[in-house]
Amino acid sequence: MKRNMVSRYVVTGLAAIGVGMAIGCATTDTVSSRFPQLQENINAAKTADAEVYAPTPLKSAEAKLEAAKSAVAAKDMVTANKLVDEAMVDADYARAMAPTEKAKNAAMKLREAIQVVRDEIKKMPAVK
Amino acid sequence: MNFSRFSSQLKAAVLAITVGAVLAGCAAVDPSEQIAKDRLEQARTAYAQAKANPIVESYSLKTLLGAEKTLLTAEQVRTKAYSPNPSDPSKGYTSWEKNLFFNDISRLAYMAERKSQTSVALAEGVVTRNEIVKLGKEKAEVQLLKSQMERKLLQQDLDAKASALERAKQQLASATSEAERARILADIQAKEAALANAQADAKTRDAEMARAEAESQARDAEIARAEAADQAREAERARAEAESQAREAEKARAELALLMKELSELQGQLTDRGIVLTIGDVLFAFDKADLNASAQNSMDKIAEFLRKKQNRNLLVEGHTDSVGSDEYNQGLSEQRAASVKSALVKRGIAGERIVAIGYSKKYPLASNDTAAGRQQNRRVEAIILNEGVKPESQFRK
Repeated sequence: MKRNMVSRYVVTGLAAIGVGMAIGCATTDTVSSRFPQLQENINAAKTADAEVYAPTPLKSAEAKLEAAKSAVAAKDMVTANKLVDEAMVDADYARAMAPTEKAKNAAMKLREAIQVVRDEIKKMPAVK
Repeated sequence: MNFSRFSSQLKAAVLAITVGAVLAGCAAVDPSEQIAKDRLEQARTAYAQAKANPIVESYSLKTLLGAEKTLLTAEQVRTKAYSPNPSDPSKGYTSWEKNLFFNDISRLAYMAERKSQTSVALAEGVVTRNEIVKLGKEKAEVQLLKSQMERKLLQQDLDAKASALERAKQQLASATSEAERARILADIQAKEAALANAQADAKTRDAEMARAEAESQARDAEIARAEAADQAREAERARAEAESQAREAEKARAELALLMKELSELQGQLTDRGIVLTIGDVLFAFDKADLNASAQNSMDKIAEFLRKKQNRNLLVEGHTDSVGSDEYNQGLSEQRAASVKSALVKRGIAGERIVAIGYSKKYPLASNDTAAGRQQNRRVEAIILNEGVKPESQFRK
């Protein structure tokens, strides 16, 4: 009986905390403090020429940052946090993708240049 | 009679609507659930692709493991979302709770997908840069081969011109008429000029080759220098990061010291959980949960503090001594914690920032054998949590 009461208290407490947690995150602004780091990550991607070589994830990160700012203004912290989380991995991806695409491009140009020289050699008269 | 006909029509209508709804089942799926499903599927595919890619294991395993962990969390939330509600298995989760679950799955799945893609991009980057080094060498080799062949062809031409000149000179010796001599002399002069031209060409060509070789060496040196600079930059970045972390830690310490000063009148105690303020039972009416007049001053201070620090939440724990039944102590500890919360809410602090909980006699500070110890144990602890910390995460086990 006693145990039952206690466990009921614990369950009620847990439920209250669950609701408190959801509402707590929903209204307290702990998101804005993450914006500078996200912006820095986006800038780093741009420095790596993501605008040219990884435009899709970069644009996604930038759009989500803007959307997160609007969500904070609308006091929707759950959405804002979600957007910052997603924008962060977008920016990470852009940062990884840009130098890789750039390198792939350079490799392709090198292969073409090598082929040009090989063709020139083929056209040369035979050496006696 | 009339009514029963109406009711059977109604039944038919309800049946038709039900059948329609079942047929249109897909369209009835909650959009957030559909997004969660789609994203989870995409994340699984992206992760499987990354994992199956052997270069990822060699060059970006850490990122892949991060993706794996995030995907696993997403799958766990999914399992939970489709399980019965532990607090009430008969009812299941409310649509509001389900919506929270689906949003979380979407977020985690998206992160897992991006992390998987990032691991592939990172590994491909390493492989491609290695390939570029190889291709650079190959290009230099091919160009060298071409130059050598051109040089040989030029030499052939030079040799041919030199032997033609030699032949012309021999013809001169055996020339019989004056006219023939003059013609051969003119021919020799032309051939000498052609040879000189070809030699000059060869010289230019050699100089060009030497220049190209020097350039290629300079390029190699430049690449090596850039790599060294990259490494230096990376080291500098790591150093700056460490410094900024140290600065942040210092800032946090300084802020904490300032907070402590502000709260010194309340005699707070600095702990890992945050600042613990103990509200002794002298501030409660005997055996009652109401705060007495002298407690109001403390409440004003805590409220003022919470107003200033919007990022900090409060956990209010009620504790009792061991006198009395468990039910009684549990109730008292909860009520006392709740009255601290309501005192703060009355002062304009958002109720969502404060969680009140009763622990009964489970966490005594002192022995319950003496009156002084029992008085110490009858208390409410208000814990001003560290910035951004949610109260429920600080719940005692």
